[in-house]
Amino acid sequence: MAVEASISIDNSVLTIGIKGKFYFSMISKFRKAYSNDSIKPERVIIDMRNTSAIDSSALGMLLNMQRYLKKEDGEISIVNCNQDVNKVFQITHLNKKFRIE
Amino acid sequence: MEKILVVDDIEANRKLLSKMLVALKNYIVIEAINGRDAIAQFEKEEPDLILMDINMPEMDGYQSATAIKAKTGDYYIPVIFVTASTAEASLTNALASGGDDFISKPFNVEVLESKINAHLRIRELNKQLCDKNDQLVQLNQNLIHEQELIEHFFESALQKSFLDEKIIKYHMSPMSTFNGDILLVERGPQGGFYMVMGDFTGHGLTAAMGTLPAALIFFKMVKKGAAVGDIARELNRQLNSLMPTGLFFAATLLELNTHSDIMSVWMGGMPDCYWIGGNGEFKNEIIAQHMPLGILKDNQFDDTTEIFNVETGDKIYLYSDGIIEAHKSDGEMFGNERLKEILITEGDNRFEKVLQELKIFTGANDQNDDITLVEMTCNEISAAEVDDEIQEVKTFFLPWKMSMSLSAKEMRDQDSVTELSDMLGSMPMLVRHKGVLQVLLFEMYSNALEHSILQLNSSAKNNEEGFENYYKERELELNKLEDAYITFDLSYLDDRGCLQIRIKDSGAGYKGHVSNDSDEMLHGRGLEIISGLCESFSFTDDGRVLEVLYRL
Repeated sequence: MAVEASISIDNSVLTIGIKGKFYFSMISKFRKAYSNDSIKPERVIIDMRNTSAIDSSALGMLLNMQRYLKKEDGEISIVNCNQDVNKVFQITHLNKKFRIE
Repeated sequence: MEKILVVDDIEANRKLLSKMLVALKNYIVIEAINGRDAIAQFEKEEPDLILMDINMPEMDGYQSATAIKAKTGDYYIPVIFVTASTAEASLTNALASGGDDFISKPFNVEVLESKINAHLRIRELNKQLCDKNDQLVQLNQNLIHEQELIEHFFESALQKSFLDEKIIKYHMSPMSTFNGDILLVERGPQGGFYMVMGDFTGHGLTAAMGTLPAALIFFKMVKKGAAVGDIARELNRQLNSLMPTGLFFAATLLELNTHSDIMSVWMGGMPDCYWIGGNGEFKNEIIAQHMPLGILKDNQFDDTTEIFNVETGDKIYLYSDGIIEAHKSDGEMFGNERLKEILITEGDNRFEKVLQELKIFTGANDQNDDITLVEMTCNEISAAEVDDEIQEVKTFFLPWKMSMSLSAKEMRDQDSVTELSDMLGSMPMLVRHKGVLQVLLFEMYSNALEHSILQLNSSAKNNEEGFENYYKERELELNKLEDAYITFDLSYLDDRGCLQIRIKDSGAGYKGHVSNDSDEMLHGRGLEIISGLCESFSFTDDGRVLEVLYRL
């Protein structure tokens, strides 16, 4: 269970990778990954290639992040979701708020 | 003992010579009565040396010698002519017919002896040489055969590469059959593509050996959609344990996302890559941040990747050090600067131009390293078709029921519900539903625990701070909790093809409802997920029981 953040060389793209289950137990780790005042990324990418499952609290965390970074709908990308994770986004219609790739 | 063939049509001459030979060194002597008989005896007896009369009926000595020499191939069978007349006594005549020497009658025993010895010695040396040669030919054939087999292995392992010309232009010229340079490209499971380009230390088979495991690991990890850093880590770990010290793998690993705008790179021990924009503008150099793969132990390995914001049409140039180290006969090297200069000044044909310039530069000088040049164009690539590995083996299953109860102690363990879903997921009929069941069970459980038992109020989650406080309070209350239970009752309804999940708790009850407009809300999504995943759901017993029907 880990959250890894990396920023592109030109500071424009923030990528956050989530390993394991994206449950409420990740709250503080996840918040730390994006709440860094020194960087103002143009794009934010949540990489879920190593995310095995998400729950409803994860959706709350993602919405929190969107608010904190003041991003419009579709400005944050969620990439490499497995089928089950994808399904949760569809059911909850959050695929309208995030760009699911 | 050597075998000598004596050829003469006159019996007395044969006997005389035979006797002398036996007296000399106890040679095995065989006789032939004319040139034709000599050929027959030669084939039958395989003599080591032939003493040949010249004038004989049916076939003379010259003809016979020519025929015999035609059959010996590379092996040396000395033919010494025995001459009576001085007219015949010339080495020229003897050699012209394919013979090797002559001896005139009457015989001087010492001359005969020394001539025989000399020619047998040559024959022995020649025989050793021919035998060695035969061995070499045989060994070479074995080697070629083995190389063909190995090549087959390599081809099978490497040919899976997705070398689509829309994204990859490449040139690879190995110094020998086997190449220590490697270029693999494969599409990711969600689209986009992965590439590894690298160079094993050394050349030929030694260097090529490492490409096999590297290719297998690469394709396997790409299939799983692994991150570039993780692929690098796995390659490093495996190569480190496989390869002897001193052998390692300099490599660039690269992933381009589906929309071809994000590129992740892990680069170890490779020369700088060049990044050129779609309009020919020089964008950047990409510089290796790591050591080659296979050197560091896993715990020292750094899998940090660099991320670049690229655009469709951007081109990345990768190459092995064979290009910049290519040199003229005076030792001057091609070098980075020359390469960079061509890439910047040339237009769309810069790939071809580099190869042309390289050829002109090195001239006739032999290539002394494997050379690889790759031009990668950022382009959208759709996902590869994924084989569906899970096959429907059975459509009919027996009905069953199971029940599990969690006490407060088990509720404090976050993994309790995971254990239940793992258990269910291992059943053949539920394998395909494991992920969804995990989400479903978790949401049902959270609902019962947080709202019915702990009586937490979801609306507290409506702002960021409240959201975190909510989960802090959850933990606090959970630690204080005693005498509580949550029971799962699961039954497979075979007639309806559904799994019925009933969750009952010891709390005060909670009847949730799915809100219609919760787009902006940070809570209330649990029930939305549950209702979205199930055929039906209903609360009973004042909200202490939630029953859902999940279609398999």
